[in-house]
Amino acid sequence: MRVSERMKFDATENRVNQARAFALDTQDQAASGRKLRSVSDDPSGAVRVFRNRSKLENISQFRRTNDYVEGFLGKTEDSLRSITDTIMRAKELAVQQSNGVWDAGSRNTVSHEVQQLAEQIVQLGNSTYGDRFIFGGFKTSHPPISGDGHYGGDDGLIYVQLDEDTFRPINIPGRRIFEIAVKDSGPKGENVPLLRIVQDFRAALEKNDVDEIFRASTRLDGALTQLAEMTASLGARRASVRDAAERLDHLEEFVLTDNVKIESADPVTTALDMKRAENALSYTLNASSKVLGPSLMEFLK
Amino acid sequence: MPTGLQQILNVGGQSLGNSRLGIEVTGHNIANAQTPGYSRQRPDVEANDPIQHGSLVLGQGAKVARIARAHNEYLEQALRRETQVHGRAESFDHNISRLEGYFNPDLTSTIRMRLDSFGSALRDFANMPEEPAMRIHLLETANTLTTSINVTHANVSQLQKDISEELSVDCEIASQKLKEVANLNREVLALQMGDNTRPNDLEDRRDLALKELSKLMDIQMYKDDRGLYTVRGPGGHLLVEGIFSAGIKLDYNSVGTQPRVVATDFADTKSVDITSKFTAGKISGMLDVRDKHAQKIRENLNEFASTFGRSFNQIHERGFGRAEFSEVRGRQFFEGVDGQYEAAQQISVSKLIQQDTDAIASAMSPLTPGDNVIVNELIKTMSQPLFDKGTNSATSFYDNFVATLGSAAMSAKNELKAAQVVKANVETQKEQISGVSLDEEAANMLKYQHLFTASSKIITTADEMFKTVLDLKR
Repeated sequence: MRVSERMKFDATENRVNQARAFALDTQDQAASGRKLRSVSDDPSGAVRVFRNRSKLENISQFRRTNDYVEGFLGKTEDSLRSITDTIMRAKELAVQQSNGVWDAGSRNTVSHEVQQLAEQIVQLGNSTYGDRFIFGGFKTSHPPISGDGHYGGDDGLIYVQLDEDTFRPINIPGRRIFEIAVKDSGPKGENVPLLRIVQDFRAALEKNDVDEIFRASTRLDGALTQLAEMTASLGARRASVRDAAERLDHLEEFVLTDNVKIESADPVTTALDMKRAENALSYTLNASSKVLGPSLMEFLK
Repeated sequence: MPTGLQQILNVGGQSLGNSRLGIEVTGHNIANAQTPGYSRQRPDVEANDPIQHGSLVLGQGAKVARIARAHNEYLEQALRRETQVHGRAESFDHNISRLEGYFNPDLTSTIRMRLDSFGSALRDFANMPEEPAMRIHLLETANTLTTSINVTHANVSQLQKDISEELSVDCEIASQKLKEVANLNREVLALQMGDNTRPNDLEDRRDLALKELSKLMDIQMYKDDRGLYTVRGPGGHLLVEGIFSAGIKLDYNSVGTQPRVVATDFADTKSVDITSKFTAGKISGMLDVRDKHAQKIRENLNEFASTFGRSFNQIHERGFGRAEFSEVRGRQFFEGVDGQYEAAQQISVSKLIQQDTDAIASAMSPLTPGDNVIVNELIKTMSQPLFDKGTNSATSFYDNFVATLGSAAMSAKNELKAAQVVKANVETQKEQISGVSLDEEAANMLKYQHLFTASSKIITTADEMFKTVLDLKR
């Protein structure tokens, strides 16, 4: 085989270039700690990374939603519990006062307490979380319970997305709390404002009407049943929000590991590659200096 | 009486000339040891015709018949072919990497990430539709989303423009090389008119010009009986014949989105569109990226913007906003997605919403500030299969076209590596035959030097013999 001058120089140039390119690549990988530096390094892996990053972005958003929903449901539950406590107190008073041992004077005194309870119900009905009236349905910017106890909100259920495929309502429209289906009077299925039941009770106390007081106690009983139902459904919702939060933690851990697997360069492999690149480069340069030097010219004198 | 001392002097003198020529050729070789495209030359020495002298046949020394170049036509052809393949692979890889760069996973400003942020902002908005800050945040993320679509579109179309500019330069270079081949054809012809010497160096230069031309485009050629090259380009278009050459250039007046490559005739009066005919060489790699891959991405971006924008608008138009917009609906969220222009270039958030974020629709029914039904539907559009005949969501559609681009870039890298190895191989083979080796030339120099000394010895010997003869008389 003939070896020409250009062959020698071209081959050397090629070899040195190759060694340098390899060195540069490993250096880049070591410095960035990443093996996925362009889509073409691993197209399907890159797409997986994209999707995982979307998931991470979504997870951080779902966490925000979760925190908000926790707060919103917590406030709702607190308000609902206070309302239940209030009605419970009214019911206690009703049972007590329907007993014949009490006289008009004491019933009058009790009626003042009941008045307080009625005012509390209006206040609790107009509870807010942030600037939102929690019992107004979609009508969140006006107090849903008027002074006479009528419900001014609507039946809107506010759904929010808890994770990739779960939308859940977070609110209880006030109609289900502040309008009580009574079974003892009027046309069937007629709803009476909760406030009116309490106010009727107060009126009965003032009038010292034992029958009316007794009727109020049954109605308050009905209201308590309805409130208990709502409290139970609220509890179920809080549980499902907590479940979603837990799922998010699991998912995040999985997604992060998956991304590390695709994106990150293994430090041990990178370190070995660096050493290899360094050796390759110095050998190539050494060998080149030896091969390129001598020619027959120098030996012919 | 032809033989005699005179004859010995002649033989010696010619041999002296031959060895001097040998040194000259060796010197020429050494001088061109690193000249690209140079083929090593050597004197072809032949014995002179012998003469009959009585019953004897006497040799008459040697002459240099010609100076030949070490050259293999087959390898030259193979090298041109591999140069074309390599030229294409190199420019394709270079340009598709530039295109791929706009979709690099390290970038945080990609459409993909903006879309994710926009989705998050929508969900935040769904949590608190009555909160003005959420509306402003949604508007901001929508603006960055449309900007990133606009910018990506601008990048891709700018790349197409850049490639066209580079193409126009390369077409000019190709035209010059074609002219050079025609000129060298003319010089070769002129030299051949005089005698039958082979114009080695001119042929080397012509081969080099053709090799450089091969880097740019696919050419086929054949040599006619006078040793002149006829060159045909892409699609068999005649580019050089004898001393005439055609040119190729970029036609900016051509119809269609991108300027076309046209080839002229010898008189530069007519031109033919040969854009789709390129199969190899640098120009074909650039055309492929410009007209296929970049164009495809551009179309995909437009489809992305218009389909996503329109589906989003459709739902948005059904919803009511806040404050003064709480009882009116029918507003678009995105503008510029229905027009005849490119949607990816035009898409933006509607001016009304830019001015007043209360115009963003959130509610299904009027006068219900807490109603987020429409927002939830908008959230669902983000993951709905709007693309590819209802099989892919916006993000999957984006992922798919980026992955397709990535795969093309990956195979381009591999093709380039393969083309480099093959081309280097053929180049080595060619160099083995045609290249100059200094060791060899050193030996040759010594060889001719010895020959020179020996030849001069013959002359001095003959001279002494003359003297002896002349001294006889004294």
